[in-house]
Amino acid sequence: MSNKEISQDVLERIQKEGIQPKPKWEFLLREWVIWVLAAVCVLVGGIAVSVILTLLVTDGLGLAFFQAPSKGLILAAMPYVWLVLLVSFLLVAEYNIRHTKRGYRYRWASVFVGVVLLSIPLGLIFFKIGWGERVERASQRMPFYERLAEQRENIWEHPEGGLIRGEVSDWSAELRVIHLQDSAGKEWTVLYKKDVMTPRHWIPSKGSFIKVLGEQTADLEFQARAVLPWNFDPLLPFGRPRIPPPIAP
Amino acid sequence: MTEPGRSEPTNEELVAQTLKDRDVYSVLIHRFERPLLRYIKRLTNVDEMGAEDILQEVFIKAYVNLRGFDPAQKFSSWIYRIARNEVISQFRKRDRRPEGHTYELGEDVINRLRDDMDLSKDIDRAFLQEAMADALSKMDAKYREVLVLKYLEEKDYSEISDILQKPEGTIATLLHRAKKQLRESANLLSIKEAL
Repeated sequence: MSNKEISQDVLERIQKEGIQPKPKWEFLLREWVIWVLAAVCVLVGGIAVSVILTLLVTDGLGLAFFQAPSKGLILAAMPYVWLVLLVSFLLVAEYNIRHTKRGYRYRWASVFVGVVLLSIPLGLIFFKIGWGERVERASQRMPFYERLAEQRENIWEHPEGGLIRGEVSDWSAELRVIHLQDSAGKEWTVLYKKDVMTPRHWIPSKGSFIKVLGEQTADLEFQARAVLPWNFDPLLPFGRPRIPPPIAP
Repeated sequence: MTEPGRSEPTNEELVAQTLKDRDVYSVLIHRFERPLLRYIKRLTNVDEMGAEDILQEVFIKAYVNLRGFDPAQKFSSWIYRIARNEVISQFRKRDRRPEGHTYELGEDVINRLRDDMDLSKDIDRAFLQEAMADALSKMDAKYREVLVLKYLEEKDYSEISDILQKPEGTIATLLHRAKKQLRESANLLSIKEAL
Protein backbone atom coordinates (compact mmCIF):
# COMPACT_ATOMS: atom_id res chain seq x y z
CA MET A 1 0.00 0.00 0.00
CA SER A 2 1.51 3.35 -1.02
CA ASN A 3 1.47 6.43 1.17
CA LYS A 4 -1.13 8.04 -1.06
CA GLU A 5 -3.37 5.03 -0.56
CA ILE A 6 -3.13 5.30 3.21
CA SER A 7 -4.41 8.87 3.30
CA GLN A 8 -7.06 8.05 0.70
CA ASP A 9 -8.14 4.97 2.60
CA VAL A 10 -8.36 6.87 5.87
CA LEU A 11 -10.39 9.72 4.37
CA GLU A 12 -12.67 7.29 2.50
CA ARG A 13 -13.27 5.32 5.69
CA ILE A 14 -14.03 8.51 7.60
CA GLN A 15 -16.56 9.49 4.93
CA LYS A 16 -18.06 6.02 4.41
CA GLU A 17 -18.50 5.27 8.11
CA GLY A 18 -19.59 8.82 8.92
CA ILE A 19 -16.80 9.14 11.48
CA GLN A 20 -16.87 12.49 13.29
CA PRO A 21 -14.48 14.00 15.83
CA LYS A 22 -15.93 13.64 19.34
CA PRO A 23 -17.35 16.91 20.66
CA LYS A 24 -15.13 19.04 22.89
CA TRP A 25 -17.54 18.75 25.83
CA GLU A 26 -16.87 14.99 26.10
CA PHE A 27 -13.20 15.67 26.81
CA LEU A 28 -14.00 18.52 29.18
CA LEU A 29 -16.56 16.37 31.02
CA ARG A 30 -14.09 13.51 31.40
CA GLU A 31 -11.46 15.87 32.79
CA TRP A 32 -14.01 17.52 35.08
CA VAL A 33 -15.29 14.17 36.41
CA ILE A 34 -11.72 13.03 37.19
CA TRP A 35 -10.99 16.25 39.10
CA VAL A 36 -14.30 16.11 41.01
CA LEU A 37 -13.65 12.47 42.00
CA ALA A 38 -10.15 13.41 43.15
CA ALA A 39 -11.57 16.31 45.18
CA VAL A 40 -14.21 14.03 46.76
CA CYS A 41 -11.48 11.54 47.70
CA VAL A 42 -9.39 14.28 49.32
CA LEU A 43 -12.52 15.45 51.18
CA VAL A 44 -13.22 11.91 52.45
CA GLY A 45 -9.54 11.70 53.37
CA GLY A 46 -10.01 14.90 55.41
CA ILE A 47 -13.00 13.35 57.19
CA ALA A 48 -10.94 10.23 57.96
CA VAL A 49 -8.21 12.48 59.41
CA SER A 50 -10.81 14.22 61.60
CA VAL A 51 -12.16 10.89 62.92
CA ILE A 52 -8.62 9.67 63.62
CA LEU A 53 -7.95 12.90 65.53
CA THR A 54 -11.21 12.50 67.44
CA LEU A 55 -10.25 9.01 68.54
CA LEU A 56 -6.65 9.91 69.34
CA VAL A 57 -7.22 13.28 70.99
CA THR A 58 -10.75 13.59 72.35
CA ASP A 59 -11.20 9.89 73.11
CA GLY A 60 -7.80 9.80 74.76
CA LEU A 61 -6.28 6.97 72.70
CA GLY A 62 -3.20 9.05 71.92
CA LEU A 63 -2.67 10.03 75.54
CA ALA A 64 -3.37 6.46 76.64
CA PHE A 65 -0.72 5.21 74.25
CA PHE A 66 1.94 7.46 75.75
CA GLN A 67 0.86 7.17 79.39
CA ALA A 68 -0.43 3.64 79.94
CA PRO A 69 2.19 1.13 81.11
CA SER A 70 0.91 -1.54 78.71
CA LYS A 71 0.91 -0.50 75.03
CA GLY A 72 -0.47 -3.74 73.57
CA LEU A 73 -4.09 -3.03 74.52
CA ILE A 74 -4.02 0.45 73.05
CA LEU A 75 -2.21 -0.59 69.91
CA ALA A 76 -5.00 -3.10 69.23
CA ALA A 77 -7.59 -0.34 69.62
CA MET A 78 -5.97 2.15 67.22
CA PRO A 79 -8.26 3.44 64.42
CA TYR A 80 -6.88 1.17 61.70
CA VAL A 81 -10.15 1.18 59.75
CA TRP A 82 -9.89 4.93 59.33
CA LEU A 83 -6.20 4.75 58.54
CA VAL A 84 -6.88 2.20 55.79
CA LEU A 85 -9.77 4.34 54.49
CA LEU A 86 -7.56 7.43 54.56
CA VAL A 87 -4.73 5.81 52.60
CA SER A 88 -7.17 4.18 50.14
CA PHE A 89 -9.00 7.41 49.34
CA LEU A 90 -5.76 9.34 49.01
CA LEU A 91 -4.41 6.69 46.63
CA VAL A 92 -7.59 6.94 44.54
CA ALA A 93 -7.24 10.76 44.54
CA GLU A 94 -3.62 10.38 43.48
CA TYR A 95 -4.61 7.91 40.73
CA ASN A 96 -7.26 10.33 39.44
CA ILE A 97 -4.97 13.33 39.42
CA ARG A 98 -2.31 11.39 37.51
CA HIS A 99 -4.98 10.51 34.91
CA THR A 100 -5.89 14.11 34.20
CA LYS A 101 -4.64 15.60 30.97
CA ARG A 102 -1.25 16.62 32.36
CA GLY A 103 -1.15 14.56 35.55
CA TYR A 104 1.33 12.03 34.16
CA ARG A 105 4.07 14.67 34.24
CA TYR A 106 4.29 14.44 38.03
CA ARG A 107 5.85 11.64 40.01
CA TRP A 108 3.34 9.60 41.98
CA ALA A 109 5.14 10.35 45.25
CA SER A 110 4.84 14.13 44.73
CA VAL A 111 1.14 13.84 43.89
CA PHE A 112 0.58 11.60 46.92
CA VAL A 113 2.40 14.00 49.24
CA GLY A 114 0.28 16.79 47.71
CA VAL A 115 -3.04 15.06 48.49
CA VAL A 116 -1.82 14.20 52.00
CA LEU A 117 -0.91 17.85 52.58
CA LEU A 118 -4.39 18.87 51.40
CA SER A 119 -6.27 16.36 53.52
CA ILE A 120 -4.47 17.13 56.80
CA PRO A 121 -5.55 20.80 57.13
CA LEU A 122 -9.04 19.78 55.93
CA GLY A 123 -9.08 17.10 58.62
CA LEU A 124 -8.04 19.65 61.27
CA ILE A 125 -10.89 21.94 60.25
CA PHE A 126 -13.43 19.08 60.27
CA PHE A 127 -12.12 17.96 63.65
CA LYS A 128 -12.40 21.46 65.06
CA ILE A 129 -16.01 21.83 63.91
CA GLY A 130 -16.93 18.43 65.29
CA TRP A 131 -17.44 16.44 62.09
CA GLY A 132 -15.01 13.74 63.20
CA GLU A 133 -17.13 13.04 66.29
CA ARG A 134 -20.37 13.05 64.28
CA VAL A 135 -19.04 10.73 61.58
CA GLU A 136 -17.61 8.39 64.22
CA ARG A 137 -20.95 8.20 66.03
CA ALA A 138 -22.87 7.74 62.76
CA SER A 139 -20.48 4.92 61.78
CA GLN A 140 -21.42 3.08 64.96
CA ARG A 141 -24.80 2.32 63.36
CA MET A 142 -22.99 -0.25 61.24
CA PRO A 143 -22.78 -3.57 63.12
CA PHE A 144 -19.18 -4.20 62.08
CA TYR A 145 -18.05 -0.76 63.22
CA GLU A 146 -20.15 -0.92 66.39
CA ARG A 147 -18.19 -4.02 67.45
CA LEU A 148 -14.91 -2.21 66.83
CA ALA A 149 -16.11 0.80 68.83
CA GLU A 150 -17.11 -1.49 71.70
CA GLN A 151 -13.69 -3.11 71.67
CA ARG A 152 -12.11 0.34 71.72
CA GLU A 153 -14.23 1.43 74.66
CA ASN A 154 -13.57 -1.78 76.55
CA ILE A 155 -9.86 -1.07 76.75
CA TRP A 156 -10.81 1.31 79.57
CA GLU A 157 -11.83 -1.64 81.73
CA HIS A 158 -8.33 -2.95 82.27
CA PRO A 159 -7.02 -1.64 85.59
CA GLU A 160 -4.03 -4.01 85.32
CA GLY A 161 -3.17 -2.23 82.06
CA GLY A 162 -3.50 1.18 83.72
CA LEU A 163 -6.94 2.06 82.31
CA ILE A 164 -10.27 2.39 84.14
CA ARG A 165 -13.57 4.12 83.49
CA GLY A 166 -16.78 4.70 85.42
CA GLU A 167 -19.19 7.13 87.01
CA VAL A 168 -17.99 9.68 89.56
CA SER A 169 -19.86 8.83 92.77
CA ASP A 170 -18.00 11.32 94.95
CA TRP A 171 -14.79 13.32 95.01
CA SER A 172 -12.75 15.61 97.14
CA ALA A 173 -10.41 18.26 95.82
CA GLU A 174 -8.93 18.74 99.26
CA LEU A 175 -7.94 15.08 99.59
CA ARG A 176 -7.34 14.76 95.87
CA VAL A 177 -9.45 11.68 95.58
CA ILE A 178 -12.24 10.58 93.22
CA HIS A 179 -14.62 7.75 94.02
CA LEU A 180 -15.52 5.91 90.88
CA GLN A 181 -18.05 3.20 90.23
CA ASP A 182 -17.12 0.93 87.28
CA SER A 183 -19.55 -0.96 85.02
CA ALA A 184 -19.39 -4.00 87.35
CA GLY A 185 -20.55 -1.81 90.25
CA LYS A 186 -17.17 -1.87 92.02
CA GLU A 187 -16.23 1.29 93.88
CA TRP A 188 -12.72 2.52 93.05
CA THR A 189 -10.69 5.06 94.98
CA VAL A 190 -8.77 7.14 92.50
CA LEU A 191 -5.98 9.27 93.95
CA TYR A 192 -4.40 12.07 91.97
CA LYS A 193 -1.56 14.50 92.43
CA LYS A 194 -1.25 18.20 91.74
CA ASP A 195 0.22 17.58 88.29
CA VAL A 196 -2.57 15.26 87.06
CA MET A 197 -3.41 15.84 83.40
CA THR A 198 -6.94 16.87 82.40
CA PRO A 199 -8.31 18.73 79.39
CA ARG A 200 -8.43 22.47 79.62
CA HIS A 201 -11.47 24.11 81.26
CA TRP A 202 -12.96 20.81 82.39
CA ILE A 203 -14.08 19.88 85.87
CA PRO A 204 -15.63 16.45 86.52
CA SER A 205 -18.96 16.59 88.26
CA LYS A 206 -20.66 14.05 90.44
CA GLY A 207 -22.54 11.59 88.26
CA SER A 208 -20.37 12.21 85.18
CA PHE A 209 -18.54 9.43 83.36
CA ILE A 210 -14.78 9.60 83.19
CA LYS A 211 -11.73 7.68 82.02
CA VAL A 212 -8.63 7.42 84.14
CA LEU A 213 -5.07 6.61 83.12
CA GLY A 214 -2.56 5.54 85.71
CA GLU A 215 -1.78 2.42 87.69
CA GLN A 216 -3.47 0.14 90.12
CA THR A 217 -1.76 0.49 93.50
CA ALA A 218 -3.96 -1.82 95.58
CA ASP A 219 -7.23 -3.69 95.33
CA LEU A 220 -9.80 -1.12 94.08
CA GLU A 221 -7.24 1.67 94.44
CA PHE A 222 -5.80 3.58 91.52
CA GLN A 223 -3.19 6.30 91.18
CA ALA A 224 -4.20 8.63 88.32
CA ARG A 225 -1.80 10.24 85.86
CA ALA A 226 -4.59 11.62 83.68
CA VAL A 227 -8.33 12.08 84.15
CA LEU A 228 -10.46 12.51 81.03
CA PRO A 229 -14.17 13.04 80.42
CA TRP A 230 -15.88 10.02 78.81
CA ASN A 231 -17.50 12.10 76.07
CA PHE A 232 -15.27 14.98 75.26
CA ASP A 233 -17.09 17.86 73.62
CA PRO A 234 -15.23 18.37 70.34
CA LEU A 235 -16.37 21.99 70.23
CA LEU A 236 -14.25 22.73 73.29
CA PRO A 237 -10.78 24.07 72.62
CA PHE A 238 -8.42 21.19 71.98
CA GLY A 239 -4.72 20.87 72.34
CA ARG A 240 -2.16 19.16 74.45
CA PRO A 241 -3.54 18.63 77.92
CA ARG A 242 -1.70 21.08 80.09
CA ILE A 243 -0.97 20.70 83.77
CA PRO A 244 -4.06 22.16 85.36
CA PRO A 245 -4.67 23.30 88.84
CA PRO A 246 -5.86 20.39 90.95
CA ILE A 247 -9.46 19.46 90.17
CA ALA A 248 -11.47 22.13 91.90
CA PRO A 249 -14.29 21.34 94.36
CA MET B 1 0.69 25.08 -2.49
CA THR B 2 2.24 27.45 0.00
CA GLU B 3 2.34 31.07 -1.09
CA PRO B 4 5.82 32.60 -1.46
CA GLY B 5 6.96 34.16 1.79
CA ARG B 6 4.46 32.13 3.80
CA SER B 7 5.73 29.33 5.93
CA GLU B 8 4.11 25.91 6.02
CA PRO B 9 1.23 25.66 8.49
CA THR B 10 2.20 24.03 11.76
CA ASN B 11 0.70 20.69 12.78
CA GLU B 12 -1.32 22.47 15.45
CA GLU B 13 -2.73 24.89 12.82
CA LEU B 14 -3.60 21.94 10.60
CA VAL B 15 -5.53 20.35 13.47
CA ALA B 16 -7.64 23.51 13.79
CA GLN B 17 -8.19 23.59 10.01
CA THR B 18 -9.10 19.88 9.87
CA LEU B 19 -11.91 20.52 12.33
CA LYS B 20 -13.37 22.96 9.79
CA ASP B 21 -12.47 21.05 6.64
CA ARG B 22 -11.99 17.28 6.85
CA ASP B 23 -9.88 17.12 3.67
CA VAL B 24 -7.06 19.08 5.36
CA TYR B 25 -6.50 15.95 7.43
CA SER B 26 -4.75 14.39 4.42
CA VAL B 27 -1.89 16.91 4.89
CA LEU B 28 -1.39 15.73 8.47
CA ILE B 29 -1.55 12.11 7.31
CA HIS B 30 1.11 12.78 4.67
CA ARG B 31 3.35 14.41 7.26
CA PHE B 32 3.16 11.56 9.71
CA GLU B 33 2.55 8.35 7.78
CA ARG B 34 6.23 7.57 7.10
CA PRO B 35 7.61 8.32 10.60
CA LEU B 36 4.67 6.56 12.28
CA LEU B 37 4.89 3.50 10.05
CA ARG B 38 8.61 3.29 10.84
CA TYR B 39 7.89 3.75 14.57
CA ILE B 40 5.21 1.02 14.56
CA LYS B 41 7.63 -1.36 12.85
CA ARG B 42 10.28 -0.53 15.43
CA LEU B 43 7.87 -1.38 18.23
CA THR B 44 6.66 -4.67 16.81
CA ASN B 45 7.63 -7.47 14.50
CA VAL B 46 4.47 -7.20 12.39
CA ASP B 47 4.84 -7.32 8.62
CA GLU B 48 4.31 -4.30 6.34
CA MET B 49 0.59 -5.03 5.89
CA GLY B 50 0.04 -5.43 9.63
CA ALA B 51 1.88 -2.18 10.34
CA GLU B 52 -0.22 -0.34 7.76
CA ASP B 53 -3.44 -1.67 9.31
CA ILE B 54 -2.29 -0.39 12.69
CA LEU B 55 -1.34 2.94 11.12
CA GLN B 56 -4.80 3.32 9.58
CA GLU B 57 -6.38 2.75 12.99
CA VAL B 58 -4.02 5.33 14.48
CA PHE B 59 -5.16 8.00 12.01
CA ILE B 60 -8.82 7.14 12.55
CA LYS B 61 -8.43 7.32 16.35
CA ALA B 62 -6.50 10.57 16.10
CA TYR B 63 -9.30 12.03 13.94
CA VAL B 64 -12.02 10.91 16.36
CA ASN B 65 -10.12 12.45 19.30
CA LEU B 66 -8.92 15.57 17.49
CA ARG B 67 -10.82 17.92 19.82
CA GLY B 68 -9.11 16.30 22.79
CA PHE B 69 -5.68 17.32 21.50
CA ASP B 70 -4.03 19.71 23.94
CA PRO B 71 -2.25 22.46 21.96
CA ALA B 72 0.11 22.92 24.94
CA GLN B 73 1.93 19.79 23.76
CA LYS B 74 3.30 18.85 20.35
CA PHE B 75 0.93 17.19 17.89
CA SER B 76 3.71 14.76 16.98
CA SER B 77 3.97 13.59 20.64
CA TRP B 78 0.19 13.22 20.79
CA ILE B 79 -0.05 11.08 17.64
CA TYR B 80 3.02 9.01 18.61
CA ARG B 81 1.27 8.28 21.91
CA ILE B 82 -1.84 7.13 20.02
CA ALA B 83 0.36 4.91 17.84
CA ARG B 84 2.05 3.35 20.86
CA ASN B 85 -1.29 2.75 22.60
CA GLU B 86 -2.72 1.22 19.43
CA VAL B 87 0.23 -1.18 19.10
CA ILE B 88 -0.23 -2.26 22.74
CA SER B 89 -3.99 -2.58 22.30
CA GLN B 90 -3.63 -4.69 19.12
CA PHE B 91 -1.25 -7.04 20.86
CA ARG B 92 -3.41 -7.19 23.98
CA LYS B 93 -6.30 -8.35 21.80
CA ARG B 94 -4.10 -11.19 20.58
CA ASP B 95 -2.91 -11.82 24.16
CA ARG B 96 0.69 -11.26 23.15
CA ARG B 97 3.39 -8.72 23.91
CA PRO B 98 4.81 -6.56 21.13
CA GLU B 99 8.20 -7.92 20.19
CA GLY B 100 10.95 -5.68 18.87
CA HIS B 101 11.92 -5.85 15.25
CA THR B 102 15.42 -6.47 14.05
CA TYR B 103 16.89 -2.99 13.98
CA GLU B 104 18.82 -1.41 11.20
CA LEU B 105 20.93 1.26 12.82
CA GLY B 106 22.32 3.91 10.52
CA GLU B 107 25.70 5.55 10.92
CA ASP B 108 24.18 8.67 12.50
CA VAL B 109 22.38 6.55 15.13
CA ILE B 110 25.57 4.66 15.93
CA ASN B 111 27.50 7.93 16.25
CA ARG B 112 24.92 9.36 18.65
CA LEU B 113 24.94 6.21 20.74
CA ARG B 114 28.74 6.01 20.76
CA ASP B 115 29.08 9.65 21.86
CA ASP B 116 26.37 9.42 24.50
CA MET B 117 27.56 6.17 25.99
CA ASP B 118 31.32 6.82 25.96
CA LEU B 119 31.97 3.65 24.02
CA SER B 120 35.52 2.86 23.06
CA LYS B 121 36.52 4.24 19.66
CA ASP B 122 38.46 1.04 19.11
CA ILE B 123 35.35 -1.02 18.62
CA ASP B 124 34.84 -1.71 14.95
CA ARG B 125 31.90 0.31 13.57
CA ALA B 126 30.33 -2.55 11.63
CA PHE B 127 30.64 -4.82 14.59
CA LEU B 128 29.19 -2.16 16.90
CA GLN B 129 26.25 -1.67 14.52
CA GLU B 130 25.46 -5.35 14.63
CA ALA B 131 26.04 -5.67 18.38
CA MET B 132 23.84 -2.68 19.20
CA ALA B 133 21.02 -3.85 16.94
CA ASP B 134 21.22 -7.30 18.48
CA ALA B 135 21.29 -5.94 22.06
CA LEU B 136 18.42 -3.56 21.32
CA SER B 137 16.17 -6.31 19.99
CA LYS B 138 16.84 -8.47 23.05
CA MET B 139 16.48 -5.91 25.84
CA ASP B 140 13.44 -5.28 28.09
CA ALA B 141 10.60 -3.57 26.23
CA LYS B 142 10.48 -0.66 28.71
CA TYR B 143 14.15 0.15 28.07
CA ARG B 144 13.97 -0.52 24.36
CA GLU B 145 11.11 1.91 23.80
CA VAL B 146 12.93 4.85 25.43
CA LEU B 147 16.07 4.11 23.42
CA VAL B 148 14.03 3.88 20.21
CA LEU B 149 12.36 7.22 20.93
CA LYS B 150 15.60 8.94 21.96
CA TYR B 151 18.09 7.66 19.38
CA LEU B 152 16.03 6.35 16.48
CA GLU B 153 13.09 8.78 16.55
CA GLU B 154 15.28 11.61 17.94
CA LYS B 155 12.74 12.81 20.50
CA ASP B 156 13.72 14.95 23.47
CA TYR B 157 12.90 14.18 27.12
CA SER B 158 9.75 16.28 27.14
CA GLU B 159 8.41 14.57 24.00
CA ILE B 160 9.26 11.10 25.32
CA SER B 161 7.49 12.03 28.57
CA ASP B 162 4.37 13.03 26.59
CA ILE B 163 4.47 9.90 24.42
CA LEU B 164 5.00 7.39 27.23
CA GLN B 165 2.95 9.45 29.72
CA LYS B 166 5.60 9.27 32.41
CA PRO B 167 7.33 12.10 34.30
CA GLU B 168 10.54 13.42 32.75
CA GLY B 169 12.47 12.25 35.82
CA THR B 170 11.28 8.69 35.22
CA ILE B 171 12.28 8.97 31.54
CA ALA B 172 15.78 10.08 32.60
CA THR B 173 16.06 7.10 34.96
CA LEU B 174 14.79 4.64 32.33
CA LEU B 175 17.16 6.05 29.75
CA HIS B 176 20.11 5.85 32.12
CA ARG B 177 19.37 2.19 32.89
CA ALA B 178 18.69 1.40 29.23
CA LYS B 179 22.03 2.89 28.17
CA LYS B 180 23.80 0.97 30.93
CA GLN B 181 22.21 -2.28 29.74
CA LEU B 182 23.07 -1.51 26.12
CA ARG B 183 26.67 -0.54 27.02
CA GLU B 184 27.16 -3.75 28.97
CA SER B 185 25.80 -5.85 26.11
CA ALA B 186 28.01 -4.06 23.58
CA ASN B 187 31.12 -4.38 25.77
CA LEU B 188 30.41 -8.04 26.42
CA LEU B 189 30.09 -8.69 22.72
CA SER B 190 33.31 -6.80 21.99
CA ILE B 191 35.17 -8.92 24.56
CA LYS B 192 33.74 -12.05 22.97
CA GLU B 193 34.88 -10.83 19.57
CA ALA B 194 38.37 -10.07 20.85
CA LEU B 195 38.61 -13.59 22.21
